[in-house]
Amino acid sequence: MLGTSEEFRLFVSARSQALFSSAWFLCGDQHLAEDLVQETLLKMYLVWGRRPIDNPVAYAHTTLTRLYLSRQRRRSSHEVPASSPTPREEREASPDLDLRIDLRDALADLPDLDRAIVVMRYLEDRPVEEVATALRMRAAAVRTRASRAVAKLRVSLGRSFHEAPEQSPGGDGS
Amino acid sequence: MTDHDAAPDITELFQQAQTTMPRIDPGIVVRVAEAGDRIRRRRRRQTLATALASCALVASGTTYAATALLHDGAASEQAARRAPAHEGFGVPADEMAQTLATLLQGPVTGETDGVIPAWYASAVKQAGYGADLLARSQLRAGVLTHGTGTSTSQITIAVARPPASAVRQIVQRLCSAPAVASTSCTETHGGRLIVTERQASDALTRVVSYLGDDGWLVQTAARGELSYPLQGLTVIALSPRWLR
Repeated sequence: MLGTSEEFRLFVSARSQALFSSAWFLCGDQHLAEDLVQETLLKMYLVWGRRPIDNPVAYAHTTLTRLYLSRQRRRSSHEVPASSPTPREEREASPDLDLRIDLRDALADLPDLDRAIVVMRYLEDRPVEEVATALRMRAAAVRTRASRAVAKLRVSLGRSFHEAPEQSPGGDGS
Repeated sequence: MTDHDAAPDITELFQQAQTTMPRIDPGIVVRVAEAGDRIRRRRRRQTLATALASCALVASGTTYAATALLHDGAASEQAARRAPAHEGFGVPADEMAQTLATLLQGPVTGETDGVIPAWYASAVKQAGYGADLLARSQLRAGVLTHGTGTSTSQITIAVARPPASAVRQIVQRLCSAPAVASTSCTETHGGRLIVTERQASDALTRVVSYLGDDGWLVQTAARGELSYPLQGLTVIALSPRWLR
């Protein structure tokens, strides 16, 4: 039988990358995303083995999203970013990152709560009811906000999303 | 999916975008979580001890005696942390790197000579990271090498307890140095975390500085590609093993 510490290590090994992906799309910055993942897992570590967690995966993602939203609410008084992330350098360093960067930029145009809903619904593939519970909202409100956010995303992504595949020489559009 | 908010196109985009996501080292996350837990527990003990000691000043002798029992270990640790500047390092300079390597338990090699590398000294001076304001005697630095062959990176973790006047200068330097590509400052419950980046000719040098409210400066710098998050290393560098 595994000890709680070993169980936690296995959980982190299995889930840290998925948590990092969610965090990255939420905050759009690798280092802030790492911080969010670490803070999330620290909170989990503090309760791991001390009380039962029915669904550790959902618990971790919910904790991460709430931490992010909480951090965003406090940001104006606690954090002074001297410069925005450096998408230009990232693009120049590796053009293959375009899709990820475009998606990040489009998400950045959404309000924090809408971004959280989009990430939970379409990246983490969580049901509406679960998202609603995690964010302490009504399911109908989650659906409405998700629909509007997706519409905005499609507009923001614009060329890169709809037109780029057609422009690819020899591309089949799939 | 029958929900009216279904968006398979967006789901597909997320799936594609994730393929280029940077990898995170789960091992370091676990160690950071464990280190963070230890730090939190230590701080809780200190807070409790401080509160109890304050009460004891105005309470009866009986209360004071009971308090003293609870005070015990944490108080001695606090007293040590309030030692005069430049004193009280828990680890000799030439053992810093090895202690760090042990704490990290990862694919890193500790340099054992205790010499502060030239690239770090140069980076802190040119980019104004602040540690150049300190005399060598005020600083302990551990140097680690990460990776093998051609893809190696170096990590320097410096720990110091600078005088208050130097702290003000360091903060000013960190937040206004013109050579720094980007800076962010975050207030935490225990101090200020300042992240600075500088594009040098050979590679990006990234430095995380933690200025604790209790007077400690921990500065973590890396040169080259690094899979470890520097903030995490800084948390590990706050280890009570030498902050005493």
